Amino acid sequence: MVKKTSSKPKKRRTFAADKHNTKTRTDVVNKSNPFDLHVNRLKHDVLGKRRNYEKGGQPLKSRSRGIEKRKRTLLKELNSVFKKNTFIDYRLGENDPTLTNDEKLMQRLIAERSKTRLGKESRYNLNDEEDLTHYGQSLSKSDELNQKPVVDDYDDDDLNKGRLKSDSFFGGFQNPNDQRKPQSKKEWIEDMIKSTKLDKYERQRENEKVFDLTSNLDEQWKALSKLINVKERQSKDIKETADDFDKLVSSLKFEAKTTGVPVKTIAEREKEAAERLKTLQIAESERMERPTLKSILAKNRPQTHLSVEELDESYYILDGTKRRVTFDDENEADKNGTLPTEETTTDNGDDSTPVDNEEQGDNDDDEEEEEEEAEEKTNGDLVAEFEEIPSSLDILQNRIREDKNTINIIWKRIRDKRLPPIPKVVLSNYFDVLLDYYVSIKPNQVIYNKVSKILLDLLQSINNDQTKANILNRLKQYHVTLSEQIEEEKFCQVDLSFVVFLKLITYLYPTSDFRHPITTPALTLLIQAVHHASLNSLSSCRQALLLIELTKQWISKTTRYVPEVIVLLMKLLQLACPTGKSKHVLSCSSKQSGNNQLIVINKNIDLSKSTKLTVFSDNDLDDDDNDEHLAMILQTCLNSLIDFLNIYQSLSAIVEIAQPFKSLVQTIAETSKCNQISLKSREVLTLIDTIQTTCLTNRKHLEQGKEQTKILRLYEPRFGPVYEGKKNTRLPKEHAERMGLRRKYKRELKSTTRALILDNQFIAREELRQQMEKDTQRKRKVKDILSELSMQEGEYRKLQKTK
Amino acid sequence: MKEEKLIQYLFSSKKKRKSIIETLDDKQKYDTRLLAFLSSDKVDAALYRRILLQIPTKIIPRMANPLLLADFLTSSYETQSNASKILALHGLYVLLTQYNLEYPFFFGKLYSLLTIDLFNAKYKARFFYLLDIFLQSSHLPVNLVASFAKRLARLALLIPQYDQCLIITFIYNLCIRHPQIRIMIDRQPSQSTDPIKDNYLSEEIDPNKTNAIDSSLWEIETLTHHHHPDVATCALAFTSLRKINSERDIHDLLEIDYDEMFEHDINRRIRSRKTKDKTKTTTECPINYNVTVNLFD
Repeated sequence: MVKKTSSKPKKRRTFAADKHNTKTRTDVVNKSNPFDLHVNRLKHDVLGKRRNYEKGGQPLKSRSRGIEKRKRTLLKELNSVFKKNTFIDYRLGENDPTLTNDEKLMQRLIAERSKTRLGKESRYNLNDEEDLTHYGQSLSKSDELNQKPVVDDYDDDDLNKGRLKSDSFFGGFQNPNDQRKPQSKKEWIEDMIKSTKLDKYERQRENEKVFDLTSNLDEQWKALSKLINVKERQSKDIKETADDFDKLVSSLKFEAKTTGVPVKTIAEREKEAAERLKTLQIAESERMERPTLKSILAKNRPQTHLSVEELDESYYILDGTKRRVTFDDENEADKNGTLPTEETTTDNGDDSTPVDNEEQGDNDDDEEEEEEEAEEKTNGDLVAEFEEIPSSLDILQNRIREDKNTINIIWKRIRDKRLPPIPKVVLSNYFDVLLDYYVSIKPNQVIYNKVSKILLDLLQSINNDQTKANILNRLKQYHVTLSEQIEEEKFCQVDLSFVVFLKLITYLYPTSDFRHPITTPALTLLIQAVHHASLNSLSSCRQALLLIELTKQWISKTTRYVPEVIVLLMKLLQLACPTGKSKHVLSCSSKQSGNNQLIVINKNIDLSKSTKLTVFSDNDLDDDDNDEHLAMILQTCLNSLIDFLNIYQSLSAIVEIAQPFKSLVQTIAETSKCNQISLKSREVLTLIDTIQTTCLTNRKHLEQGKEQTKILRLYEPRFGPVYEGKKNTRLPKEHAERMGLRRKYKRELKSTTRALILDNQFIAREELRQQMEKDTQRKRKVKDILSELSMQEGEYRKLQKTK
Repeated sequence: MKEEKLIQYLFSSKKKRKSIIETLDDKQKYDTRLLAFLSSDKVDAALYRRILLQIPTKIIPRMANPLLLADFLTSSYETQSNASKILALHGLYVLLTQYNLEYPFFFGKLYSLLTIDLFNAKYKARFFYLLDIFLQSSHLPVNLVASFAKRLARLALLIPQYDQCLIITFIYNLCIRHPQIRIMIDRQPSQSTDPIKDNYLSEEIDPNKTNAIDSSLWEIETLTHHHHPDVATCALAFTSLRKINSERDIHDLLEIDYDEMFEHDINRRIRSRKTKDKTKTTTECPINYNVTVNLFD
């Protein structure tokens, strides 16, 4: 207030003074007024302490700022504090002092216009509803009146088409042939007009006719189109049997459709194949590995609420028979489902075999359509669908009887990429059929090789549950027959199909896997057969040797130990030892081998021409002149012993394994009357010696595993919050918060009371000012009145004097 | 007729009525009659086996002084037949544990029972059940336990695969029960006097003198290469001996045969090791990829 009052007279000062004043004001803005400085004296100089107040306060400046602010806020409130209502000026542009009068007018006009025009579409209309008039008549209407009817159908073609003849213009040229009578000009013109109108009319008629016709035709076409389509299809079916060229064309068409992918070069393909092979090899070697210690531990870890059976996978769950793999049941159901259909197909097949080849050509065309429907059909139907793939063993055998090359032909059909691919169900069915065929045929190396190759190829394209279940079922069947035989006679002699089938399994599935759904049970089955192998006759010995050979193939890659084979070899060699010469390690039961001296050789036989023991040699070994066979068996036995010793030479217990053989082979070497056999046995002996010595030099011990290191319990230092120079840092957080709040409250209370005091001061000052203003006005008015009165009095007195 | 009645009286095949409480006189009468019967020559092989089977459960409770049977049992224990040996062993076990029978060189005879033929014997499961009990004692000398372990390991090299799990687990339990023989597992080459030679004397009859403790269980190491995955994992469990200190239950393993193993193999779901997702089982089975090889050369 004081400042305000002081500023008022300043404005009335002289120019020079004013100028000076402004200069000082700018100075004030630029640098602080030295008189307006409030500096606190520094009492203690603390290093590193932030000193905000060093600049010093500006009490005058801040006070004036506060007053200005109060004027803007508090004063306005004060002026309207006990007032009920006020006027608010809402006139356009009235509150904006920057606008000129014209601009205000413009604004108002715009507002008026926009109020009269509602709706969005008229926003951009420039002069829409402004109806201009001329002498009271609207101009738009007069426009309408002036419009003339437009001739719409006039086209310039008239000229070109020569409808208007050249002689209608420019009076025409004289036509010598024309012998018209001269007409009056009016007549002529009328004539011309008439003709043109007629022309036009006729053209219109024509157009209409054409349109009618086309629309009519269209309708008819639509009605006919369905019929026509059907007819076309029928004609396609009726079409005569396609010749080779047609087939080729259709197949080419098909090929073009299918090979949308860029054609790969041979090199690329080879590369891909090599990569695939590599990944497969890696996967195989991974599967070959034994489980790591960690996984065993994980399995063995006692789980809280599990029974003992679940503790370890390697324990046999005695009620394991209750658990069934689900697909078994499915497969059985499948079989039931397919059986009747198979029967029907066999009937069809028998009837239609001669026609088969003729139909094939047709089938190729139709198969495209059939394939779409194929998925809706059941498996049985599907199997029947592709007749060139035999659905049962009988069909296959019939066809093979007719044509020896049948299997190759079928295989070509399956491989043929030009023809539609055969569904997997059919293929797996064919896999089954082929397996049947494989087991049923007589031993023949060529056919076995061929069929097995095809089977492997088939399996590579359809390796699914069905094939797996198929193989497993066959294994189960073999197992049932084997265990029945064992139950009856304690020892068994397997038939050839068993050996051949297991051989096929080694061919189809990797035998090196640590655990495999097919090869593991198959090997168990094989080992069971080995364990219970009967050694009653030479042929049974041969069978046993075949089994040993098979086992060798099975484990040669991974050098897995099979004790049963070792035992069987031992028993076989025992049979070759004459009694009394050596003590027997194992006692052969009389059921297993009736003759203790079965393969003791009493003659010197030349073995150089004898062949290797194979599945295919079918001759009877138990005839009279059996010495040759006998020697052959013994030789094979020794050979396989060498093989096994070589395979197992890395095992740490090979010394113990080979030890019993030593004495046996020794006696054979000493007693055998066949030179080659004794030579061979010496060879075995030296091999055993070398293996034993090499093994003994560095034997691998069983490892107990590392002890789990116990972690030492360490005492860690306790980390507190950073010391901030406050005393109560260790107090709990809530308390600190509370204290902070209290401090804040105190500070705010202080500032608020100060603000309130200042406000009150301001209000008081303002009220005083207003009161004083009123008083001075009143005083002035009173003075005026008094002066007027005194003047009146003076005039009155004057009048009195003059009177 | 009379004989049959006697047999029926002595070895009743029917279930006994439990309410019968025989007096001491009855029991003594039974004793004399039984001994008289056993010493006579009327016992044929089938009856002999039947007697041996009944001794531990039925005959001994009815006797006044079961120690009278000791002669009969020892004589049958020393026969050639493995079956009668095992059955006699059961009877002896009852006498040893319940009636304070003193049997000299018991463990030596037990040790000599361990041959390869044992695994073809009829009462194999019973034998290993008993052997498990005999070797549970903590007062056995280390040499003896080591001999048993070593001998069993030797045998494990030649026995059929279904027994291998049993034997391996048996040795495993021995190792846990008698931590002293763990020296046979993790032998450092420098420790043993002669690393080249196996110090174990397999021909020695006395289990206390076989030096088995100086040997090592290479046989188990070999069996980690067994063709059957279950056996291999069983053998591999030895590598976790330091971490796990609980015995494994062998009772489930006592009576397994090839058929059971085959069933188990077929029904096993193979967990894929890569995914490690235990709930997910892979139904796919890997196949050979090498097409160039012929099936028969």
